[in-house]
Amino acid sequence: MVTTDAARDDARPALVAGSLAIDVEGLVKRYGDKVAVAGVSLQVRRGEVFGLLGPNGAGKTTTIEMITGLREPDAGRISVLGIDARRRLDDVKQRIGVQLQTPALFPLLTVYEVLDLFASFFERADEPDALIAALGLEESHNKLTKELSGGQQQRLSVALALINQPDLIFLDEPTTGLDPQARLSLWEVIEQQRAAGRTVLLTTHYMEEAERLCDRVAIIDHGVIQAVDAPRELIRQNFSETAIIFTQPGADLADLRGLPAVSNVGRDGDEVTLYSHAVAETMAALLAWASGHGQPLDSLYVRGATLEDVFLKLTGRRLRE
Amino acid sequence: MKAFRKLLRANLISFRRERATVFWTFAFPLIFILIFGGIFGGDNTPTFDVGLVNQAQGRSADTVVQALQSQKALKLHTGSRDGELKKLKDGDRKAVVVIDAPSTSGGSLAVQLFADPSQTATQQVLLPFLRQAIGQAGNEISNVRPAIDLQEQSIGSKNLRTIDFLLPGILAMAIMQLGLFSAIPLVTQRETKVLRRLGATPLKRRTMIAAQVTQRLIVAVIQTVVLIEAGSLFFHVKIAGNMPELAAFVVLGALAFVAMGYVVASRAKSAEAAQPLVSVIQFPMLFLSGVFFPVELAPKIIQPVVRALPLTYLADALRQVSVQSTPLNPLWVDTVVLLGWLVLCLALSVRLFRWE
Repeated sequence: MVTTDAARDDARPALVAGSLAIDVEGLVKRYGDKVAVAGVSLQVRRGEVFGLLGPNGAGKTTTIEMITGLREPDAGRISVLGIDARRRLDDVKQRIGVQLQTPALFPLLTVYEVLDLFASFFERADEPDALIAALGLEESHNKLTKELSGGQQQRLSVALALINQPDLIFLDEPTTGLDPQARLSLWEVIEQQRAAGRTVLLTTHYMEEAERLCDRVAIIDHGVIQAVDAPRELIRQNFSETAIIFTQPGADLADLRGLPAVSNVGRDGDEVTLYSHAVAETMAALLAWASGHGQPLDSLYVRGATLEDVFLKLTGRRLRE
Repeated sequence: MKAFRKLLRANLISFRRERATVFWTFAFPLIFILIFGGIFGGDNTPTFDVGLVNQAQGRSADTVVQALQSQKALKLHTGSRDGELKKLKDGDRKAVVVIDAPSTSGGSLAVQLFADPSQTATQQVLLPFLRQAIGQAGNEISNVRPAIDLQEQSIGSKNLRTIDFLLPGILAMAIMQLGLFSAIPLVTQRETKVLRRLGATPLKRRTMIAAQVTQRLIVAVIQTVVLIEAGSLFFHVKIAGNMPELAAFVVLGALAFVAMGYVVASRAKSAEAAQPLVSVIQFPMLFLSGVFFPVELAPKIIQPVVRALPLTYLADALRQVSVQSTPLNPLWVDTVVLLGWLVLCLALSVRLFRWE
């Protein structure tokens, strides 16, 4: 399923109070002297897929736990689907779906039985079989959950998050441990949720996933939101250059730095990266320079900046460490 | 209510699928019954010194004497009434049988049984044995009218073999173990963050606990039925008491021990950490609560401990209602003590239990 940016923009409601799925202000959580979340404010619009990105220990899990009522904040206001989540938590819980990084739930029940059990906790619930089909768990229907593979386990936990037909879905690294095929099909599930008008808040370690799925992302570090915007916007705001990458042992960096439109040069082993703000100009000069000096340009490719570059710039860390 | 039902079902299914647990839940007490039943109920009965005073003449009296002589477990010593009773007092005799002629001609033979009431174990094994032998002799003499008028001295109306005494005790033990271990799954669920995941659903904690406790109660009742059936099948233990009363004490006992299990589990970091704690609690109770031998036999100095343990009261109550043993305490005392433990442990576990 391909969603164009235009379609996303159309589906995105205006930023008014009633249209917020999550409205959080000044959220603080301390553990002793350590401040895990230091005043997070966050608005997630209804119907969007929102990514919360941050290195380990940045505060994203604690933030999600406070929004879903699993942890009591020290300060702050939390409104979920227009409901005051600190006062009417039970009402919130009926309408949200949560997938946590929990390995085995009820190891001695089958996939169907666990889904059927969870369905009984909610006023409104889906048919277990419908979710089993949606997440490709048909073959595991009668398997005990302790016998599931990591990927099946993961898909079951996503299915459990969807059992109550939630208006707002929290997914904590939903595709971690999935093979590429399973990841793609889970992306489709998430896109179907958006198409059905549901809101999704997800965390992920995969930048490609965030860029592909998320309408907007927030980058969180040191317990504070560092930036919030559409992935493409974030990249555009932080990087105007394009990277030209090739392999050349013993390349003369000074020569390369002198090429037109090059703002910076980096080298990682034999791999050279040129940052250019005018790719055509730099490329033409680079090719001429290479043939003139008899230098190879092995594995040459050009790429735009990615969310990973933005993340690295804003947090000083790679997302996956 | 729907969540409770589904959760209860899920717990029962999970329990059933845990083969090893199921096996030990039922096999452990059964093995105890078979072992102890084998020792005390089988052919290896130790011999008892029994005094025999025959003050009657005739065929009927001879039949009784022969009946006693044919019992390998008895070592009979014939003597005078006063002499044998003195030896009973001195501890040289476990019991004395005195046969008197019928007071009226054609009346029944008067047989008196003397025993030392402080020798509980003897009373529980030997007396029923003697009684049975004499009763059979009576039937041989005449099966139309009672031929023997059996009187027992210093003995209540109890009709208890060792296995009769053991079976309810082992039932009490099984209930204690079931209860004490009942919070272990909760510790595991806390450890593996299942509680956390459930916390994100509208499921109430009280519903979750209610479902777990109910599951334990159901298992306790099944255990009771299995043990009683086994006792009846292998050792002919007859449950004389009324079933609702027995069920009530099984449930009350299970609740008290389940609550105690939750206290133990309230702070344990992992199932592995909780298990030794449970053992530390259960072993003293096993040996000090009169499960395997009467509590009167415990040394005086530890009697206060014995008197404080809930298992003492559960075993006593189950014995009274199931095989009508001589009460250690009135039933209402057993009830109050068990209720007291239940309330105490409930309060403690509510205060101490950590969900995270």
